Amino acid sequence: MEKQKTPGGEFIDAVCAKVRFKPARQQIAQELQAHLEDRAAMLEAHGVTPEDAAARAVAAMGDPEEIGAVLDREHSPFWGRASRVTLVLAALPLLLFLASGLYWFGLHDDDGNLDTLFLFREALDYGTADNLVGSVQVGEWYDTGYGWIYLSGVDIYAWAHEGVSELIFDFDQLYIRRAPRDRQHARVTFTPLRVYDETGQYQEGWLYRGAPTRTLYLVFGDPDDSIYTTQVELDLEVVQRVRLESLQVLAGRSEADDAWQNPAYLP
Amino acid sequence: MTRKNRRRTIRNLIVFLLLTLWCGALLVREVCPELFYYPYVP
Repeated sequence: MEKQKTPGGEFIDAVCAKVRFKPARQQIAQELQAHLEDRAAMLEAHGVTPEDAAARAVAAMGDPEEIGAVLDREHSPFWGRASRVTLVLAALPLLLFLASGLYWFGLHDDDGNLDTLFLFREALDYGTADNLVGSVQVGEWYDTGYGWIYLSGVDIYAWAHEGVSELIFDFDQLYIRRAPRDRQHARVTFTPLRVYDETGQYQEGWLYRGAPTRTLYLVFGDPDDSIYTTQVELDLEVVQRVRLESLQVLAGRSEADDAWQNPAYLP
Repeated sequence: MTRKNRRRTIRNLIVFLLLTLWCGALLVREVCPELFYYPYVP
């Protein structure tokens, strides 16, 4: 190295040797080098020979050990390393965040439905639930011909509004997958359900739990065409929750009819 | 430089904590969305 041969180079090396945080040494060396060159140039302008000017510039700087100790305090190795380590630490969740964004937007359509659901769109024909499964028992897998369906639980809500009593079926979790051993499953948020009126007639609809607005919506109509849907906002104050374990759903109407006619389930 | 690095460290830690909380909430929502539903049991 050229600077090691000159007195300035030896001075800079002596100062840098006292600085424990090595990444800071290069910047310190550059600053000292510039400082020495400036001072030497000024002396040369006053008629001093270049060799003498360099030596006097170094001498004017003072004790390299002392300067090195001050600079070492100024460039603490702890905080220098801490800032670098935490930068990497902060970058990790940032990458995770970006990756989750890619995952999220890569798997969802414009309506926020999982793309994986579209693989089962035929199987999840909301309008013809009878053709879909026939009979589903809670806690069992069913082969629909398109994929497998698993129902983990059913809640029944008795709902009274303007003198009309209705029952709402809410599937806790409806898992679907292509094959019984396939671990991939999707959770359906737009659950198909039937609502019975006083005469025992029912309408196909699905329950939409508006999590951000904390409101419960009941929607009827064509899920693929929002123009032909009717949305009913449920009054949470009058919704009574009744849980029936192992209830047959999407089966004929017998058990469901019994359920809706049972006064115990009405508010 | 020590002060600058100390400020950087604190900033990085705050960014780390905020991002971790945010990503953690997203993850929990993916795994267990029921936690974010309104408990509509009267």
